[in-house]
Amino acid sequence: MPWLGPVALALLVLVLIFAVLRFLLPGVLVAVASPLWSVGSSLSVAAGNVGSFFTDKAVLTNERDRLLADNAAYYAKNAQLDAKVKDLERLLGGRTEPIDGILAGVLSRPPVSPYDVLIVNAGSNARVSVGSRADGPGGMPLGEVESVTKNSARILLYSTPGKETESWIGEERIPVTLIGEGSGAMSAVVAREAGIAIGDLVFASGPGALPVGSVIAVGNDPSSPRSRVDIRPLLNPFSVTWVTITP
Amino acid sequence: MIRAMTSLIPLISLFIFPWQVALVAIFAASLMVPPAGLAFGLIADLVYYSPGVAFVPYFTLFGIFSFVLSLLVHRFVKTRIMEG
Repeated sequence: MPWLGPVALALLVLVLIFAVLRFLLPGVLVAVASPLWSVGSSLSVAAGNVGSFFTDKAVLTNERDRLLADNAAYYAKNAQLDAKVKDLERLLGGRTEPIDGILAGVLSRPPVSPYDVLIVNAGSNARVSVGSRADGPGGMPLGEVESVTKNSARILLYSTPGKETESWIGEERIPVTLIGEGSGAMSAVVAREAGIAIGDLVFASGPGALPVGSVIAVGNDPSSPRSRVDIRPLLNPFSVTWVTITP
Repeated sequence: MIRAMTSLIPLISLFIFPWQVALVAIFAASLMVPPAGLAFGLIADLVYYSPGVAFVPYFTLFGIFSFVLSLLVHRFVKTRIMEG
């Protein structure tokens, strides 16, 4: 294989170029990749509609998709308001002032991006800082900013594999540690006596009660004092197109 | 030359297609050009991996696996005319 040497050398150079871009010029890497990510987003939308392209149901499909997205946002917002009202009724709610958020478009999202990482087009120039919380439509928390360049930022979703996030679960706001499972899924371990049921909401800890997901399964192993709880995000991270970053 | 150009498909798929498709493309490229699996696995993690997202960079591990496997295939499997 006489061609193997030159090809291997070319691949090595390619890897070195990406290494330099990632570690020394991360902003350039995002700028170069942005057009490709845009193409990927367009292809995803086109692929989603390909089944209805040849039928007269295309308009209805688009409308249904829009309504589903709106419904998810309203559901999240409603759950947030409902939780806030209950907290106020119990005199446990704190006084919160509205905070201005930074609107950022999502350049890369799962499933194109593995590891449940969002790359957005707002960075330190827009006052985004490491550790800031990123919210999706409806004010639902999605994750936290992991790193920032001048014009981009990386957001680790709460569902990032292995990521641990302190949160509350259920009506009684039982404190739990959310563990990311990848592909939008999360899990937690709670005491069997906690009374967690399918459909209970999971809230991000902190001011206000901001829902991040709902319980879809509760483990029922009679030999264990603890139950594993499987949690689904309220907002599908595969379809999020913009986020609001709270500094 | 065609083989080398074809091996660049994973580079594009990393940015356009779901990561599962990129994995398949990386593996296919690795079967044609063994170092391609390792190279594109590294590139995928250079683009997407961040500290804390996983215990190990999965794409790099997959690239190493593809590289070793394709080396074994190239070493032991040779094309020949089957004799009846």
